[in-house]
Amino acid sequence: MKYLIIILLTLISWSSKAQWISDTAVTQKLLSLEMCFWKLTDDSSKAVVLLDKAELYKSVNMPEQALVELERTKKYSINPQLTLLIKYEKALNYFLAAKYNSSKEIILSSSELALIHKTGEYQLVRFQSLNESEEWDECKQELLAFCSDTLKALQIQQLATVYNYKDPEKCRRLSTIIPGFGEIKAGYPMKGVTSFLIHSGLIFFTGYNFYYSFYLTGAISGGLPFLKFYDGGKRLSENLAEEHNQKEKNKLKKKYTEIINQVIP
Amino acid sequence: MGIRICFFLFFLSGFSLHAQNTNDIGLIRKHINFIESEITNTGNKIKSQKSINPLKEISFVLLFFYQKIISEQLSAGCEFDLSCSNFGVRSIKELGLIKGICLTTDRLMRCNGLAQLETENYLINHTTGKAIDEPSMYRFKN
Amino acid sequence: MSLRCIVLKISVGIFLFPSPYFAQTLSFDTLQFTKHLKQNHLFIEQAALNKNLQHIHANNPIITDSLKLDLALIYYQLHLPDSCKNTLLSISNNCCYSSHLNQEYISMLFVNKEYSIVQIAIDKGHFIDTSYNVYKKNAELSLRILKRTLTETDTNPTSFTIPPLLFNIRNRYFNPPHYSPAVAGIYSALIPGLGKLYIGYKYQAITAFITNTLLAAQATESYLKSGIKSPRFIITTSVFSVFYTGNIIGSIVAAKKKKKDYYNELDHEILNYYSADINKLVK
Repeated sequence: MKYLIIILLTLISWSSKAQWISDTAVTQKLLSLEMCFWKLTDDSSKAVVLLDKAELYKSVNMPEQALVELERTKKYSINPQLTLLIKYEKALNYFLAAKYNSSKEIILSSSELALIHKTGEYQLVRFQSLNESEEWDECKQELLAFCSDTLKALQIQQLATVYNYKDPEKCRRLSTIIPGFGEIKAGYPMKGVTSFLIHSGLIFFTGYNFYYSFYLTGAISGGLPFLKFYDGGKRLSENLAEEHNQKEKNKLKKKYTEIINQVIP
Repeated sequence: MGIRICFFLFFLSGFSLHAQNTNDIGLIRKHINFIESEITNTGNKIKSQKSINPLKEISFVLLFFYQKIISEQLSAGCEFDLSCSNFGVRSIKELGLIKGICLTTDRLMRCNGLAQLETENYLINHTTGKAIDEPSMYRFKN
Repeated sequence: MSLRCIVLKISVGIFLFPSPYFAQTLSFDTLQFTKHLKQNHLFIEQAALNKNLQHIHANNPIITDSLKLDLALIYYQLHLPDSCKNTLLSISNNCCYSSHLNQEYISMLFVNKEYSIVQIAIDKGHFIDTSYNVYKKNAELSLRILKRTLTETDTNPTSFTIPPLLFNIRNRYFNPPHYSPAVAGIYSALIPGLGKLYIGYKYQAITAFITNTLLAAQATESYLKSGIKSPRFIITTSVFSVFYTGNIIGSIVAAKKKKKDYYNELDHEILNYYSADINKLVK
């Protein structure tokens, strides 16, 4: 019983310090891999060690550092199989680092990657890279080619490939002509109405003052704020259009992500 | 019994004696994954108010209304790290109503590209490129 | 205690005893490996190697102190200011560095604003090396400026070579601006913006003047056309008076702040000078 308590307490103390130990273990492992790398003379072995380091960085959620290690492999001449492996790791780490365009470029440029990585992980990275870099046409076609289930294929067919785009430049021009209308066109009617009311109020105030010969008050308290709001309104309509576009993109990306997660178990 | 206790303490303390005090990987991870967040310039919550000053409350309400509705319509960027309206809220809370309003009006007169040319180098936030200007810098009695 | 229990406890202890004590051996050229890590900017590995070497040489304080200084430099390059500061503070007061390392140590202390330890480090370093002695005098000068204890008689610039930047800072230290808040307030009361011009802020003076002039013009127009009891006059005058008072108080406060800002600016330049020094060492 006593020994059971001792062992239990030791295990508890071990688990509470596990985080410290695991991070110490990671840095020590990185150091030992680098030592290994330094001692080796063969290019392929060096590249393999760098690949191991990149994997370790990836496992502790540091994809940028993993990419740095993978870049170091460029100096060494290695066999094609290892090159493909490194390419795949690069694509994966670019994806994890949210650099979707770079990930997509690598995956689409090397069709041989599909031969060595016919795994769910590879397909997920491929589809998600296309999704995140907004290549929905291509993503849809690839999903249809990959999916064997007719029900899911039907769902994929129904996916849109374009989103409801609002041109920020158009909205800005509309706000230039009629303040507030650009915001309404961008999909924010309340903000547009508020803007229109503020501008109308200021014009009325300026006009009222000018009518009763208070020119300075009209110009300073009416005209100058009107100019500021007018300029701000144009910027606001442009920003709101961009915000709307971003929201629509995210909605579409979410739909594609849901389908991808269903297609790839 | 004593020897057993010693062994037990030795095994338990083995970790703490050589475990890293600073979690290097954790620190670096936090640094690399640091995303510069927008400086949320909401003023600090007031700790406690012994008496409620109605004029202060009115000024907070007006500033709140300005921040939520008017500021968006102006869509302008402030030259300072702490925006002028938040500077106003904080200075009224920290320095009182009259000094707070006066400093806010002075700040409004300084918040333009021309006046920013005269900001001292040490007051420039090199991350955002904006000037640092807080109500605490206007306290002279410690 | 039975033999089985002893074996169990020892095996549990060894299993749970982490690897750092056994990770680092000296079977390869440590210096060459450290050079390789530095060339490739592998900071995490450098930090791990450094800590292992500190464990191994725990009984040799001279080596441990050099390693700690190196580790502080690594943390500086990793932009981890708290770890850098803590490592510097863990260096013993009895550390013995070469002239080059002592310079590095002093620069790191300046950048981390540990001025109390800088004096100890400066006092400790006695080297024949003339360039170090010049560096030491410059460090003393910088420290006195940062602590605001420098006097004209203390440092004679002709007795040692001061870099142009520090020389300029020294001269500016002895010529701080003196602006009277009362005078700034009176000037601003007379003409809005004049107080700011007196302090040296010409652009702020222009904007204050323009704002107050426009508001005053508005108030004047309201008075001339509506009369003193009209709501228009009351509102415009209230707005003008708020900005006018703000302009006066702003000038007074700016005059009070000016000297403090001036010295803070000098401090900032000194710290930049030592940061540049460390960046040169790192390269």
